[in-house]
Amino acid sequence: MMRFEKTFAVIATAVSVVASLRLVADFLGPSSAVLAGVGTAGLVAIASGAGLWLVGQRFIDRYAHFIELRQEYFESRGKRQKSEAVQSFQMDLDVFNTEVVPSFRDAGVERTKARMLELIDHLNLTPRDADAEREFVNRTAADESLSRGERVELIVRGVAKTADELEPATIREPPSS
Amino acid sequence: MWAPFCPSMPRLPVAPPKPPFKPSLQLRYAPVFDFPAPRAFLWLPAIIAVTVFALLWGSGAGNARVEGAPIQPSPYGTGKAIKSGNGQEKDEFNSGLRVSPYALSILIGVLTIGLQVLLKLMSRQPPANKSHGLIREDLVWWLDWVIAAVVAFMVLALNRADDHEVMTTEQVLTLVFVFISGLTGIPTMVRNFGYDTAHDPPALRTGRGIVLPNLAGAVILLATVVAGAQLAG
Repeated sequence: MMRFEKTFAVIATAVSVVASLRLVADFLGPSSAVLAGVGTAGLVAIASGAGLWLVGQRFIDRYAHFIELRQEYFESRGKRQKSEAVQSFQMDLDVFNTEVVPSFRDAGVERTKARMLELIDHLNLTPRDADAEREFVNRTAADESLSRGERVELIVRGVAKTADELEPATIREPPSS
Repeated sequence: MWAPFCPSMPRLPVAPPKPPFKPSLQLRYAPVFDFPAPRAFLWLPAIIAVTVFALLWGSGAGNARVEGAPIQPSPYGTGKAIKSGNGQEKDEFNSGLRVSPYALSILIGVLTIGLQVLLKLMSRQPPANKSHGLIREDLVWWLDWVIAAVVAFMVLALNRADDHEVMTTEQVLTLVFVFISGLTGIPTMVRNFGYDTAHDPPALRTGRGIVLPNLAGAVILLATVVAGAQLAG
């Protein structure tokens, strides 16, 4: 049943798009229809890309912000002070899965790696921890046995885990590889 | 509030105002569009500019002719001279501001998503220190385009129901078929292929969940507007 549904979905969508293009060709002529089709595809791709970039940029910034604030929180725990920053900033697991990880996936492995290395430099980690993080990021980014999406996801989750040792933890385990 | 009526009532301690929260990474990871939601009105001129451009692009401005010169056939129909109210001759099809079908579909598509995104920017409370509250789901535009296409075509078809010569039966049936297959196929495709189900909740995929359905919706809108333009004469 599920297979039938998938097949039906693909065929119905393809047929509707082809029939639409045929109608356009009927009304505008073949050459205009080709131009209109290419123009529409270009406009949609540009608009969708711009939207994805805008939204992705926001969540990548938010992720970096989140990591930094959690670091502040862990530093302040020793002083028995709760950082206002952590109270005012929350990132739940749903947002992490549905927005942050896909945004980094859209950005690609190299940009994710560069962003993470930059973030690790900025965090107030001990040299040993920072080196371990950098090594983790570089090793994961270069791991050819994983797909590009898996590499990105592992890096994002792994670096988040660095600052996610205690409550109020919301980002959980990295995926088992 | 009670103080004027109960002067002896002890005043509750008032918490000092909290200093504004300024994350140290604000400059380093500055958002790209750093403006608060109400200033999203800044997008309005851009939307109006695109609208005007689309109107002028397909308008009859290029078809202006010298008075007395022979009337050229219009690309939108058979240009024939008609008498206007003051007795002057003018071209029936080139006399007013006309929009080409393609410009009209761009106009409808851009206005639909432009206004939708603008209203979301204005109405949604962004998270702390963020300039907007848009999420990936807001980039799913095919829904709006397909709905706009179906409604626009139904209105135009009802409006011109008495004219049997503007579209052939085959074209009408093709368009109805496009609607039926599009309205059933695209949602089913997005549900089955558009989400990454490795996590809970599933994440919307970029290609199969956003860009491809948007493309299909835009093509359906294009066909509908072209057919609608034909219907409207």
